[in-house]
Parts: sequence; C-alpha cells; structure tokens
Amino acid sequence: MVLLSMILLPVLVAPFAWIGEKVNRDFPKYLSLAVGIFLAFCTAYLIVKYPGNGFAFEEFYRIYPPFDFNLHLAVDGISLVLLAIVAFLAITVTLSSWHVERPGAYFFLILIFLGPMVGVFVSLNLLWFFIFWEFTLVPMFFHIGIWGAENRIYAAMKFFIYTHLASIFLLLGIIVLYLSTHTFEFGKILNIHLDPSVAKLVWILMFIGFAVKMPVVPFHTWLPDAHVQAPSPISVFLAGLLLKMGAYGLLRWEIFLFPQTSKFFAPLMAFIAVLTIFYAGFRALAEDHIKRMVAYSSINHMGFVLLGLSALTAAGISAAVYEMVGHALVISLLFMIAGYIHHKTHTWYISELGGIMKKIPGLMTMFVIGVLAAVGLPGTAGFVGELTVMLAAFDYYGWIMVIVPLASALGAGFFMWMLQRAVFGPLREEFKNLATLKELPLVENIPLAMYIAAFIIVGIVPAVVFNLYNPVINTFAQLFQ
Amino acid sequence: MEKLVFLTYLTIGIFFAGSILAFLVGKFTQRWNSFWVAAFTGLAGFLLTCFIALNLGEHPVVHKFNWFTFGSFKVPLGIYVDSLAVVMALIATGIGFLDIVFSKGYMEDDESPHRYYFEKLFFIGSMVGLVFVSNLVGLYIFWEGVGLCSYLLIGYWYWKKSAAEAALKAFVMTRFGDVFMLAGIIVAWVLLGTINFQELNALALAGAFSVKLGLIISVLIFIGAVGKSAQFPLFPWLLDAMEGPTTVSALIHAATMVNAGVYLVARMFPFFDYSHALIVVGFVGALSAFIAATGALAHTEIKKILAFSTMEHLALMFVALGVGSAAAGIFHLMNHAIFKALLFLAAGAVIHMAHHQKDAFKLGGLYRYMPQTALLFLVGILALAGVPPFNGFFSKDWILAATYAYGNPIIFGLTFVAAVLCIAYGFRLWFVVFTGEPSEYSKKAKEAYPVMLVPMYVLAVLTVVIPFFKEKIIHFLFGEVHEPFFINLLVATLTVMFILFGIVFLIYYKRVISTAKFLAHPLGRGINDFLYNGWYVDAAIKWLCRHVFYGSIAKAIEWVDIHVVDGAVNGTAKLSLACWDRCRKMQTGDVIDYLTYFVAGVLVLTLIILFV
Repeated sequence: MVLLSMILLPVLVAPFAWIGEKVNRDFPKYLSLAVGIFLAFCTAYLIVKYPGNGFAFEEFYRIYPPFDFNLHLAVDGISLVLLAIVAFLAITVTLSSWHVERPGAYFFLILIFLGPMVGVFVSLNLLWFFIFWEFTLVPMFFHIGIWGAENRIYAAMKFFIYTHLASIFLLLGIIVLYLSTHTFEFGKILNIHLDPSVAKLVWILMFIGFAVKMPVVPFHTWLPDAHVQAPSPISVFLAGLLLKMGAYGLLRWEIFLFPQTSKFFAPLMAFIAVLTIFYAGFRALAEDHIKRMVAYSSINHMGFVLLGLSALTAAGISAAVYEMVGHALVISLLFMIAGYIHHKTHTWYISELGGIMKKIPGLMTMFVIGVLAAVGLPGTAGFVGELTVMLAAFDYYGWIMVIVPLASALGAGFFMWMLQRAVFGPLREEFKNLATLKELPLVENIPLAMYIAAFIIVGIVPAVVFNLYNPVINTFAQLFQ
Repeated sequence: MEKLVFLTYLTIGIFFAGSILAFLVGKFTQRWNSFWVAAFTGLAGFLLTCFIALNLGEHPVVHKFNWFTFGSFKVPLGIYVDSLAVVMALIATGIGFLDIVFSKGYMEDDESPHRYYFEKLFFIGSMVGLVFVSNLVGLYIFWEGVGLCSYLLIGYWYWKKSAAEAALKAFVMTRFGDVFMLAGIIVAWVLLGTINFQELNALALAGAFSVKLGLIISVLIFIGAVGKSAQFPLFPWLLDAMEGPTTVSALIHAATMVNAGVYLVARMFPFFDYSHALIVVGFVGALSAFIAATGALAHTEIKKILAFSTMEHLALMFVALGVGSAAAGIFHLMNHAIFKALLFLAAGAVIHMAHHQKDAFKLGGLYRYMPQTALLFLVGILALAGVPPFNGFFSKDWILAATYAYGNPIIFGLTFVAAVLCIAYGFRLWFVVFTGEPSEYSKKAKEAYPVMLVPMYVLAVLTVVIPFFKEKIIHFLFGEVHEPFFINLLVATLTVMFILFGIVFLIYYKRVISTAKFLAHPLGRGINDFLYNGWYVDAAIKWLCRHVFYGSIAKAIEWVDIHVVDGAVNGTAKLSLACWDRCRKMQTGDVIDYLTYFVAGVLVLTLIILFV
C-alpha cells in the first residue's frame, strides 16, 4: 500500500489545494510541503526496509487482466534512488515557490504532477508506465504556459508537441512489443526471447521516445526553450525529474529488457552520447543567455548519463545512475540561481551583467559553489559522476574514449568564463542603486542550501548512493555476458 | 605506526576544520579573530608535521581504505607518508604558518579577513593532503583542491576586472592540463589495474607493461604537471596570478602549489624513467627555463619578474628530474621554496609600504626608507642567484653538474644560460628598487612592521642554515646519492655570473651604460617585447580560445543548432501549417470541383487495383 499511496495521495489531495486557496492563501503551499514530507518519509521507510537486492514491496492490482492491464508496482535500488530525488525536489520546489502568484492552481498542478512521477519510477507494467509518463506532461504544460516568461505559449506548445510526438514512437514500440509478447509485465517480457529483428524495431521506436525526453542531440531543442520560459522551480522539475524519466525508461525498459539488442546498438548510443557532450559543451560556450547556458550544460551532463548507460557493464550503469543524482542536485541549484539573477537584475544576458558578487555575495557564493560542482570539482557529486562514467566508458570502449575527459575542460571554460563576466569584475553602473538587487529571504535560501549540502555529502561519501543499487545492477549486468 | 596514521589524517583534517572555524569565528565575532584561529591552526599543523617527520622510521606510514565501489571498480584512497612526502608537508605547513603571520600586517586594510584565512587554510590542508595521499585519484582530488584555492585567492579582489580575468585564466589553463592528467589516470587504472604510486612504480621496475603504454600515460600525466607548475606552453597564468595578494603569491605561486607538478614527477620517478618520459620532462624544463629567465630580464614589475623567476626555477627542477637526478630536483625545490617565499614576502612588504606601486622602475632608493627589508630582499637575491654560501648555490650547482654529466647539449645549453641569468635579473631588480633616486612612492614608504619582518628573518636564516644540513637532508630523503662534481664547470659558472653581475652593476647601479639606445632601436624593442611577453605564448593561447574555440567551433555549432537542428523542428511545424492551408483551399463549395476530385479519385483507385 505504500507505493500506491505515494502515487494516489498527492493526486487525491490536489483539489484541496485549489479549493483551500479561497479559505487561506497559505494553505496550498503548506499542503504541498506536507505531501513532500510524506513522500520523503515513505522513501526513507522503503530505503530502510529494502532487503538490498531485487524487487521489493510488490503490489498488484487487477484492472483488466485480458489485456494484461494491471497495476503492478515494486521498487528496486534504482527506483529508490529516483524516488529519493522526487521527494527531495518536491520539498525544495515547494519552498522555492513560497511566494508564487495564484498558489491554488500552481500547487494543484504540482501535486497532480508528483503522483504520476512516482508512478513512472515504480511501475512494472509497461502500459501503466506509459500512462504515468504521459500524465506528467499535462501539469508541466500548464506550468510553463501560465507561469512562464514572455514567450511562454511558444515554449509550452513546443515542449508539449515535441515530447508528445516522441511518446507516440514510444507507444508504437510498446504496441509492437505487446503484439509479439502479449504481456506488459516487466518480469514476463524479461524471460521471453524475442525475434532479433522485432527486438531491434521495438528498441529503436522506444529509444526515440526516451532520447527526446533525456534529451540528446539532435532531439534537444525543445529543452532550452522550455527552460528559458519556465519559472525556475518548474525548471527544477523539468531538469531534475522529467529528464530522468527518459534515462530511467531507457535503462529499465530497454537495456534491462533487451540486453542483446542493446549491445547491438551500444556503439550508436555511445556515439550520440559523445556527440551530445561536445556539441552541448561548445553550444554553451557560444551562449550569452545565462539560463540557456545552464540548459545546455544540463544536456551536456545527460550526455554523460547516456555514455554511462551505453557502456553495458555494471560499472557503466551504476555510474550513469549516480550521474543522474548528481545532475539533479547540481543543475537544480544552477537553474534556481539563474532565475534569481534575472529576477533581481532584469536581464538574462551575461554581456549585460557584471560584478553582482559585490551586491549579493551570499547568493553568488552559492552560485559559484554550484558552478564548481557542475565543472566536476572533487568533493562534489559532479566529480564522482564524471570520473566513474569516464572510467566505465574507457573500460568498455577502449582508447577512443580517451577524448571524453577533454570535455571537462570545455565545461570549465564556459562556466568559469561566465562567472568572470557576470559575477566577478567591477559592478556595473546601472546595478549600483538597483533596489531589487538584494539577498533572498530565508525561506528561499533553504532549498539552495539543501542542494549544496546534498551534492557535497553525496560527493564525499558516494557510497550512500552506490550501495543502494550496486547489487541490483550487478545482477542485471550478468545479462550482458 | 597506528599513531602516525592517525596523526597524518589529523594533520590534513585540522586545516579543513580550522578553515571553517576561522570563517565562522570571523563572521560572527570580531573579523580579525579569524587570524588567531588561523595562526593557531597553522602552528598546530606545522608541529604535527614535525612530529611525524621526527618519528618517521625506516618504513613509510601507510594506510588504505575503500572509498566506494561501483561495478567491478573499487576506488581506493589512503595515505603514504615517506621522507619525500613529509619534507613537502614541512615546506607547506612551515611556510604556510609564516605566511599567515605575515598576512596580519600585509592584509591590515582588508575587509574580509575571515574569507582570506578560510581560503588560505583550505589551501594548506589541500596541499598537505596532496603530498600525503597514496594514489593518483587521491592526488587528483587535492590537486583540484589547491587549484580551487589558487583560483579563489588570485581573484580575492574579485571586483577588479584584472583580478577576475587572472583567476579565470589560472583556472582554465591549469584545468586544461588537468583533464589530460585525468585521462592518464583513467588509462593507467583500466590498463594497468592500479593507481597506487608504489604499485605503479613496482610494475615499472618489473617491466610489466610496454614502454609505449608507459610513455602515453606518463606524458598525459606530465601535461597536468606542466599546467600546475607553469611550464611551457601552459605558463601565462602564473604571470597573471600576480594579481592576487602578494602573500598568496608567496605561498601558493612560489613555495608550494606550483611545486606539485615537480613532486608528482618525483613521486612517479621510476615509472617515468622506465617509460622513457624523462627526456620529455628535461626538454620542456630546459625550454621553459630559458623563456622564463630571459623574460625576467626584460620585465619591469617586481612581482612578474619574481613570477618568471619562479617558473625558471621550477623548470630547473624539471631539468634535474629529466636528467635523472631526483635528489637535486627535490633539494632545489626545498631551497627555492624558502628563498622565493622570502623574496615574495619582501616584495609584498615593499609593495604594501610603497602604496601598491608594483612597477619596479617607479620605485627606487628604497634602501634609505626600509633598510631591513632591503637587506632581507638582498639575501633572497643572493640565494636565488646561487651565490655561495646561500642555499640556492648548492642545489643549482648540483643541477648544472647533473645536466652537464647527462650530456645533451641542448638541455645543458639552455639550462646553463637560464641558471646564470638569475644573478642578472636578480640584481637588476634589487638595484632598481632599492638604490638610486627615490621616487614619490618611495618617499612615502617606511619600514615594514615587526609582524612582517619576523617571518622574513626566519626564512633568511634558513637560506644560510640549510647548506649545513645538506648531507643529512639528502640522506633522509634519498639515502646514498652520488653527486657529480666538475671543478671547471663550477669555475665557469661563477666567472660568467661575476661578469653578468658586473654588467648589471654598471647599468643599473652606476648607470654608466644605458639601455635606452638598445630599446630605441626597432630590433632591440622587438626582442625586448618578445621576451617581456613570454614569447607571445599568452597571445597565441588567447587567439586560439577567442578565434578557434569560441569564434569558429562554438559559433558554428550555435548556427547549426539554431538554423539546422531547431530549424528542422520549426520547419515541420511550418510544413504542416502549409499543408493545412492548401487542404483548406480545396473546400471551395463548388459542386463541379467536388465532382472533379471524386472522378479523379475513382480513376486513381481503379488504376491501382488494375496494376498492383
């Protein structure tokens, strides 16, 4: 019942956020915070009780057995890590949205987003996975379309149509798979030997769906637009959770299900991954828009995730999952602060900023810490993620992967250059008397401090993450031999 | 043994704990209270290191643990404290402590001493960690840690445009070297199965892998060392790093961090030796030494002359390692750390007291106003120039002898020229700053405070005392070492140095020869600018970044991204809109049109059915 309640409770209480606004303007945010804490407690409970290997806490609800349309929920180490991110971001995003306009509708949408989000990570039925997957789109669409910046309608439409079109490929893949296996059950598909050509067709169709969501080059252009227009807390959901669905789906429903086919396509994945890493890195270097730069760096990191996954070894997959955690924590911080910079200075452009460290040292110190984590400084999650992915990739592919570390210099290049131009240096004249350029209120500082604390802890003691799923991945990795 | 393991971890930890404490104390009580925390931490760390050094027996202190496991990889961390590590740590903590004390005077006008001491202690902690760790990943962690502190401290006055730019250059340029090193670490880890220094060296001694593989790994790792130790071509950041407070230059960019590259090569000496990589080290060192020594001769800012000089001496250490004499290299590292810290602190005193005038030629006659500083500076110059009986003489002469014995004429030639030029640029600097007519800046100067003088006296005494313990130190570090000695080389060196001193004396003290004529000539001006700008390596790197990486590649990808990749996406939308528009126009409401479509449709269908 724990898993089901984690999915249903946020959705069921969501209408109260909307109604409650009429009674008390503060009610919706406290409700959302309570749900976040509830999710955190449930996740903590699951982590403590998790036996260490395999699926646990299975729940099975018959819905329409003739089509194998049953709600089958369970978690393993990998899902647990992602659930922890969901719960963590639910709390931080709520705190970051403390002073949002129209809180009723806003938190209503957040709550109905969280339920399906949990569902995606715990469903063992492919059809339900797809249903949850599609459900997350709707609240996100309205968030961008209503609370977004000037060009929000274009971005919301592009986001919705693009990712929805990708989902159609995913659905096609699911249908083809069902027609040849007559089941949506993870466990059953795992044991059915598919015809290789069918498996390849299914793999490619589903991969398109996941690749757009991750996103990887050349399917990435919806992401910078969506991020730039989305309000910052929603950017956090977008980068921290929505993108992870793509990587998680690829891992759970392709790599684990079709190990041999994945092996066939591994070089393709690796090629796309390396292309993404360098392409996004150079693209970010040319970017003047601060949030867009962070968005491209996010794509660059997702390239690392894909590279880890493409090395079909226990090491590669563990590294990729770790990198997902690191990415969620680091990029969330950077998106939040990029949003605050715009909010305080009324400009997005690095060339129009300068020297704001002098006015808001507290916030900018956090920004510098976030940037350092993003460029992979040891002591943060960024370093462990990059190191482990690079190691696994070199281990699997050999000498060709010796070029990947060079991308890290690129990351240092564009991020540190941005800091020098936007944050350090002399304070620009027009900012000297700008009333809005001041430090954040305490409540909005809390989530930022939480991100920093989390990525430093995870960076210094990576075992807290790795130990959760090492046995699971080691078991699955035997499939590739 | 157990106790020493604990004390080693404690030494590393005390600096990190101290750094946070210094920040908090400074933030929430009186700001300058952070100084007392820092001084106490520095002293405690130094005493702990001394204790470890004194109790270090025949066997090194070793401890190892598993940091984390992923897949089939176990990531180990641990410590390995031998005499080399402990000497490096003594330099870092000892000079670090003196520097902390000196800063009390130098940074007196500073608004945020708690930030300063936080970064400083964090740096010393990382440096101590760097020399104590037992494997490449551990080294890389602290290597980046010292790099971070260097970045933060160069940009300490971040509101100055030049400081922000210098910090950026330092970070990116050293990072560029570091990623090659990271690649080297990954290659070694996967293909050799270990990253532990001792195991790597043991594999090399056993000849367990091909020389070619070893060479690739060594060169990749050496590129990291080149970046950190400011060798050709990754040196321009060190000159710009002089934007930071002078105390930072003294500790980080002269005495400790920049030595990390030399230390790394020394640590992996058998590995480099087996892989035939030492010749690369030697050539890079010799070339860098030449560029730096001639650059120092042409430059006019006090700190940049010293920066060029630092680069030169690091290069000499690399040459020593390259020609196979690790003992000479490390001995010089130690001597250089002492006399260069002294020189930088003295330069800091001059700059601070002369109202932040850094151009040597705008000072002058300072001997009259700050005689103690002048004499201390002179001691530094004598040691730097390698004049007996100061410590620089013993190690530099050894390096020259080892290079001579090695027999490569190019390496020896460049090294010899660089080594003897020290006396020329050293005394040029001293004469220009401390003798002659006082300028308006000099007239305002007064003697440095006691809190600044005392650390300088300690260092000055060390430059004289160290030579007496030369045998002991070398024995402690390397056991029995054969030191080559050539009397004719020694005589030649000293003669050339004497002649150079004479020339400089005539130009800059007696001022009977003028360089104005040389500089007025276009060729002379050109040569001077070429040397002054470090062979325009900085300009070349800037051009590469601005016009190739940013201007060409990044801009081209941006264009492709907007017009091709996203263009295709938006193109699909336009295409479907256009289709919709065309289809809409078919709905004319005219019965004849509809009938035409109907007949055409029937025709097409019939044809398909008939022929397919």
